[in-house]
Amino acid sequence: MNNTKNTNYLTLLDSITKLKSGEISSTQLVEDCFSQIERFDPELKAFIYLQKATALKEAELADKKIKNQGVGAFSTQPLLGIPYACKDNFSTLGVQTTASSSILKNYIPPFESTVTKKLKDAGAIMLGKTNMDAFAHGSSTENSDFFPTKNPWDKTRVPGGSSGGSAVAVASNMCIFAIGSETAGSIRGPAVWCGVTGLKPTYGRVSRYGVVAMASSTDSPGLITKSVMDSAQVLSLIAGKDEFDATTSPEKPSDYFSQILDFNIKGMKIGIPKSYFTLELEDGVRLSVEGAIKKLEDLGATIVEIDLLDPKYSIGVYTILQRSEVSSNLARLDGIRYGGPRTQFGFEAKKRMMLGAYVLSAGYYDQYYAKAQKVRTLILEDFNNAYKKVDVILGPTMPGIAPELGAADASPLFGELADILQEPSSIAGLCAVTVPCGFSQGLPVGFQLIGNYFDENKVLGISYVYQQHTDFHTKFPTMGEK
Amino acid sequence: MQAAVTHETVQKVAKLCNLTLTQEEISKFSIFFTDTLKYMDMLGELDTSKIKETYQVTGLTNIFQNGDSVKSLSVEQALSNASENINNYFGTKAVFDRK
Repeated sequence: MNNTKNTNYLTLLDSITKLKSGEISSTQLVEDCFSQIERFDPELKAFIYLQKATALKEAELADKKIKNQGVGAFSTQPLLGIPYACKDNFSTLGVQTTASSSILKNYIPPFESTVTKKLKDAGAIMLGKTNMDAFAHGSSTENSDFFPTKNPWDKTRVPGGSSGGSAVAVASNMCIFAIGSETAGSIRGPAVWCGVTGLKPTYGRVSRYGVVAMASSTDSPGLITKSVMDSAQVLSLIAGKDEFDATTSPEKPSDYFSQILDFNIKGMKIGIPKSYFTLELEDGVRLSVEGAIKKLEDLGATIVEIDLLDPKYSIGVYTILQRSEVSSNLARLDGIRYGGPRTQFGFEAKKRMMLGAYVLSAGYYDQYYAKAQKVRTLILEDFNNAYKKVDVILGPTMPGIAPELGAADASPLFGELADILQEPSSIAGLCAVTVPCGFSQGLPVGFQLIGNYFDENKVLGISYVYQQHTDFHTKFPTMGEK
Repeated sequence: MQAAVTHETVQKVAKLCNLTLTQEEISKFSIFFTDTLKYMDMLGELDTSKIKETYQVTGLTNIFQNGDSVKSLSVEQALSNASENINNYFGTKAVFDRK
């Protein structure tokens, strides 16, 4: 069977083009995604909930609309008939939202998150909800209270996390695109280990309303897609101020998609932080990322070596702030208004709440919480100074390739150490894109571009030009197929 | 350098968090916390005596709604996930004389 003929392999952009021309139908897209899910998900376990009948009904309506209104239907609904996968921490009206936790396993939200509402309004069709580390606590998706998700490139390895289910759904072509969320590495991490594109927007660029809160001062909803263009297309639709999230920015979003189409990389200054490369990086990662830097230079960018604070300090800052915010956010789960009793919390959630309460408790507040918020200021100033010299910052996304299942159990700070290269930018609330740039031991490697606040155009623009001249993003796991 | 986190401290924090821990969890947390605090103590290497805290990274302050009434959930919707519904109120255990 030639899989390239199945529509679930299409990028978002190609799906829209073919829907518009009538070459394919939305029903076909949804059916092909479900055949892929039914075939591979019993083993990969990307999804924790599927809604096939609803999705097919919505596809039928989309097809009718396209038939009646023609291409015009897409002017008000740019994602009409496009199937996507949704991380299970986005509240979906009437559809279970568990954040992969036992305590919320029977929770049915009475309201819709802003992001899923915007996608619904744009005509996108939700196929189901994807697995994640429970409450997004983790970097491997092994901390799901239900089951671990497996990496489609090698089923003995983790996909990364916490948006692991979403990354696997995209990498294994079970959907056209997926949404995820990142507090520090939860989009970029699984995207790079699954060999797909990940976008973590600036803090406040995309509304957090209806996203099960992890660390409210850094949580950023974002995208996992098959190309940078696809990310740009969806970001244009979900970005912007939201009256339900006071931390969303009044800064007007661009039309990211059209902005990057004629993006000029010549003269762009790309900063390479020495401290990100003196870390212990796997050889294959170092080689591939250095290759990407060379490629970008050949394409006209100027490479500038810069100094940034040692990322090791971000581990301490992130651990303190994140645990503190978790202990506060999860205090609301009282088993009275919604959710089960607090005895149902998993080990990781308990661990994080406990440490948070400890560092916030009398006698330790100044030593830990206040100190961390001060070092956060130093990290912000550090980036500020860097952006006076360069347009964007480039580094490896992860120091290594996807580890084997079980790796998370080996260290109490597994995620914090794996995400070391993403924590500084997350703490600062900057935007970033990760794209695939090679393979090491047959597993995907990627680099990230970190941009200043609301500079999504630059990180998307440069990575778009990179993808125009490379084909790493077009490689997908064979999953045992010839 | 931070001293080891004792079992007593772990139990005290568990009470603050309204969590019940097994003996095994108490032992594990005591070890994990002691280990994790080492990473946090690294921050002591940086001089922050003249630095202010950052609580909000994009600089927004005092965001208010514009005063229009906001549509809220109906009683039925709000109670749809409640563990106990008593005459259209959330049911809870008694607060006074709680054991």
